[in-house]
Amino acid sequence: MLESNIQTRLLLAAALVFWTGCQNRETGSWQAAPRPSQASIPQPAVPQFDLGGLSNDGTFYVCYQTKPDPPPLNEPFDVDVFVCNAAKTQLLADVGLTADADMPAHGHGMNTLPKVQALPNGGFSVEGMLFHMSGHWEIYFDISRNGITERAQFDVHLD
Amino acid sequence: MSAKIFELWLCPPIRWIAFLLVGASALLAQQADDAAAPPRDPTKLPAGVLGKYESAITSLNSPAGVAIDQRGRIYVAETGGRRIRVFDSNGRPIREFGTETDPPLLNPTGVAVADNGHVFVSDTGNNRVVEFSPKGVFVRSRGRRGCADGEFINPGGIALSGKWLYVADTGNNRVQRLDLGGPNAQIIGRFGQEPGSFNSPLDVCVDAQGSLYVADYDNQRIQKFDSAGQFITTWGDWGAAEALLAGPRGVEYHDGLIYVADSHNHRIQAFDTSGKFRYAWGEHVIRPYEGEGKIHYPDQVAVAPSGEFAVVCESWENRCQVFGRVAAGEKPKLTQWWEVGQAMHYGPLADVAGHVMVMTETEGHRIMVFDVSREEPILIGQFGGYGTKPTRFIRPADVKLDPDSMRLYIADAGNRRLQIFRLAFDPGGVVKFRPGLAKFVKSIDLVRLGQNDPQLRDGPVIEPIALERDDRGNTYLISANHPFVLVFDPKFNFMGSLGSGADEGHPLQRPADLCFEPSSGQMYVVDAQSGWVAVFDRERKFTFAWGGLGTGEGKFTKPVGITRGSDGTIYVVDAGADRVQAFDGRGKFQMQWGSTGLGASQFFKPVGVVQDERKRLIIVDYGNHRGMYFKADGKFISAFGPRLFVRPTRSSGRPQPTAD
Amino acid sequence: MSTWIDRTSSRRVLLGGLAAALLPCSTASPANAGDAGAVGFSPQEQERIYQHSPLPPLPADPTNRVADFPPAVRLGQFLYFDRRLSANGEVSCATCHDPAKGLADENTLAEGVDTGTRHSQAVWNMAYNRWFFWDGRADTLWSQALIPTEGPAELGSTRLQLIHLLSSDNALRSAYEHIFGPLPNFSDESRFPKVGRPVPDDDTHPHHRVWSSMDDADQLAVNTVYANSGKCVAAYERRLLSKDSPFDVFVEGLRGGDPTKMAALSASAQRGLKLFIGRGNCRICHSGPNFTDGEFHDIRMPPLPGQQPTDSARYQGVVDAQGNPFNAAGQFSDDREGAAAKKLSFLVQKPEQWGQFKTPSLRSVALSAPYMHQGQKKTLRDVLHHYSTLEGALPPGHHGQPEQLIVPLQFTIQEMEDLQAFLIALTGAPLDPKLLEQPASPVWSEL
Repeated sequence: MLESNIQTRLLLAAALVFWTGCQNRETGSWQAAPRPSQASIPQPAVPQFDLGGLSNDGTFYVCYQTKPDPPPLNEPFDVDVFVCNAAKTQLLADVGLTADADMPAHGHGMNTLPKVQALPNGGFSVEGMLFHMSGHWEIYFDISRNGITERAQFDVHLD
Repeated sequence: MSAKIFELWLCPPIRWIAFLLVGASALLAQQADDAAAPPRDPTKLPAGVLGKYESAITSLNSPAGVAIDQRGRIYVAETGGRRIRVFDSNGRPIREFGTETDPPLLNPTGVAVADNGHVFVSDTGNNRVVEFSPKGVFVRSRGRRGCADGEFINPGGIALSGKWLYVADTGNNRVQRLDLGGPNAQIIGRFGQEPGSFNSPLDVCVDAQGSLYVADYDNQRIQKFDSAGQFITTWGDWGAAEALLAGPRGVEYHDGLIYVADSHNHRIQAFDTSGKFRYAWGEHVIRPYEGEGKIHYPDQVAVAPSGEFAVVCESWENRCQVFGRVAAGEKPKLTQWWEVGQAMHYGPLADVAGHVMVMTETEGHRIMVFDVSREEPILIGQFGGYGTKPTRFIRPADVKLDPDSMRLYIADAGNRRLQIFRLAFDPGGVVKFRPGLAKFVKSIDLVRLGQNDPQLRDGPVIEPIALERDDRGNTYLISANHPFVLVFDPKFNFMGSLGSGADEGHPLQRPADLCFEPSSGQMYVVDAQSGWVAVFDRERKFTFAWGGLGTGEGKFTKPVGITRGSDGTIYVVDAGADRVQAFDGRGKFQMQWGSTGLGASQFFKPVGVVQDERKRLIIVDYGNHRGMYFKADGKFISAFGPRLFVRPTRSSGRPQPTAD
Repeated sequence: MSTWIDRTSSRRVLLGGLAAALLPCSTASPANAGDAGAVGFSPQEQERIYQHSPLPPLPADPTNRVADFPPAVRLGQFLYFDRRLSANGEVSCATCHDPAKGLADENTLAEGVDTGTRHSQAVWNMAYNRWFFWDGRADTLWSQALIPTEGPAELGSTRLQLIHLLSSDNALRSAYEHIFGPLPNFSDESRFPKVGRPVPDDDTHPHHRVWSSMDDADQLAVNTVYANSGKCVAAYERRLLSKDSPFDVFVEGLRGGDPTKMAALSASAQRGLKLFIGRGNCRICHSGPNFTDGEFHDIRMPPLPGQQPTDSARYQGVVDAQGNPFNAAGQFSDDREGAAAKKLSFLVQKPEQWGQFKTPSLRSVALSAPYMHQGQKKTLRDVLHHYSTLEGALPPGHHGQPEQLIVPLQFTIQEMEDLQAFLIALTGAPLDPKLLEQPASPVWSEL
């Protein structure tokens, strides 16, 4: 009974999210990506995800929303993340997620180790991100399933 | 434990009973005393700390283990020489043993001496511990390859404490405490990163209270347990600064201090028993093969019971060095990290695709990417660094670069995973250093993979040290703890193995490297311990082999690298013989070159070989910290790397392939 | 035995390209090297400049409920200058963080009751910090204030001495009780010995033995008062603000198009500003209105002559911050689950933190020479010389990963002068002199 409840909830969440989130444009920098027009979204009840893209081996489609958006310079921020299959037809709840970020040109990343929590709606909330320097950041979502961890990454430019 | 092993442990019964009766008395030690050299006088012990260079025992064959008995005699586990050698405290040889037992010692790495003079040896290649009488006569042995209690995989350092023999059961990622007077074997720890777990524990020691200390190599720390095996504390972290560790290989207890052979920092660090740093010694080498107190990759350290001197074994340099005590109040010689700067160490294994060459950089735990379109390779990128996060490495051991997809497969031995990157840049662009040229794609957790597969579940944790891919996208992995090659399909499901127990007749014991021949679909696997090149077909069946141990044409001492040339020639690099041999695809000897040294066609412990698109062979001459270019026919072209190691190739006259 | 990785040169090429992109109009050419003429700023440069000014309003500190309570400010100010807080009665906070010396001092290494291992930091704008000390081992201003009291080289005192001073001095007692209510009765010396503190890394220390002989409840009573004393000192230090500098006036002018205000910065200082936000890359770490990212970096700064670079700095600071019982998540905090407590939970010790020191604020920096974590650099010019040449810099570390932005910037003499002029223009408006001396009484009155 409980299990079927969860399944129903997940399916519902999946449906909502992929309608409103995963079908949006592939990727973009935080500064560049404009929001989709409100009119195109039938149900704004769940967070809208401007940003997303395929993981580096094409297995997953990841959409995310930083809070605040765009991420601030040198202030902590959070991210909501949803992991879908590549075709964006299904929200995946049976995956693990870690989040991180690097500045490739500096040879280092963040000074924080973000914490990731699975949300009841099938997504993940990431707490403790902090871009302490301006410049080019790469944000990483590492998705684990059955011992294989695949990365989805997105560029962020802070000036 | 099984009854069969129990029997093995009990025989021969007469000595067994005698041992029980005599226990730890000094009687046997007295009888055994045939050494001519007078022991040093402990009353003249200066007050200073250890670290003053005194002498060296040289011309050893990869000595990795050392112990010192009550009389100051030095026992060396000569790993490459496959025997135990005993020296007096002045370094004069007394005796050697271990070659006459059945089977003979195979790559022993640990040695300990009981109060009664009996010598215990960890017989690493045979996965057992052996007890010898003071004169080196076989008394008994215990263990065989396996994961059960009392079984071992690549046992390393050992230590005696009362009736217990502690064994660093390296390949099983645990310590075993064996009851010398009975069948009990207690397991301490298991694989993992959390406190109390191990990742390649290499050595053990026990203090006066019976507490156990473990050199937890890939976790870069020392761990302390009480005499009941309960975890107490841990210290250490990766780094070069004081009290940090880079590859702790050996631990030794003496008089309230724990001495750690801090191998990649080239020093010995002394801590108190709670882990507080006390002092360190070790000067970094500048000239090749420099000794005279300069320490290079120390494996183990032993302190004489009198406290007068310590012996540091450096298998890399084929020697042991003896250090006495400095004058009271003085500090021993120590090279600090800021005096050395950032170093680059090539190897052990490399791969080439097009004009891109990728190498592991073991000490920085990094990957280096070179452009090899010019005469000299140009560093165009590096990434990684020590750590457990994705894109970090612990002991990256092998790389495989797929020329079509520019996918880079990296065997991350210490993290027990494969990491896959894509080199993302325009290969035709300007040759320059590019930060962020490697994009992480995914990693394969081999611990998890092993747990999920019913055939691998009961075996040791996979420790990937070499990898190859075939034309169907299957991945072939060599694990340091498996005597066969593991094969995974493109989705990383375990398919089977090359050289498993069911496949009779193959010579695999300790496979080291492998290469794929696309036209025949054959996989060539070279075995560092048995000295064979074994060939398997597409169905993973053993077909034929050549080689075997020896020094003649077509024989090997410690073959560790293999590659296939564009014309089908198979090149095999022999780290034990410092030579390269070339064969046709059927194993017929073609030619050879190389000898020990720094000259143009000389090597010191070479480990890897690849061929670039211009058909140049690139040999990773690991022990000489350099890479060497050769033509396909063995003619020396050039060398690259640190000046001190490259210059001798230019001054060594006209290089010629050596004739046997 | 090693190949030197010449990362410096390869990076320099890259940065050269970057610099060209960032500087559409070069300003430091010999042609306009004099001090005449206005300096233009592109829209991107203006955006960057605005990030540095003005200093925003004082951020709240919910971990300290008396952070902005005037009586606490007054008591804190009194304690800041009170030499009785030290073991020898000669040292106060103001000894090393002297208002007459830019809230720091002229010594290379701090001189408290003994000589420390690092240079005294200027304590301007501390309320804006994320971490405190060079190594960030404190996570709140009030817990920072507690540590020097017991530092063997700083005030050299103990928390038991402090609480006895508070209870025996009528004025202090009265001030304390006005803020926090009645002081516990500390008069029984068998329960509350005169001297004692925990010494975590040496449990044989006499101070530690005394401390550990006390009841838990008595320890708690002492710790509570001790924490409160820190909260008062913090309340005072929150008032030590550097703002309204010539640079801030200039930015006001730039925003509003007011050339009179813009004249607050000389042409030289404006050129320095341009370098600061451009080719110098200074702004990457010295970011925001307080000119610091509040984080930690390895700039390959060598130690004082004759000393060795053995200070692990942030590497140990992370562990200390998380282990400090007075941290934001601890029982003495007034907001144990807020943002300050959370930031602790995202910390992790990593080998690359070894030798990383906190980026100092540059506001009023000209007042507090010498510079760097050991006062290695006597003048601002010396500091600029380090970044210009990296002469004598530490090697990048045998295995380490220093900040890769640290490459020789090769400033011209004119550029160094310009940068220095800019840094001098960050000097804040003078504070009320009454805030910079010990008040007559620790007790606050509205009159």
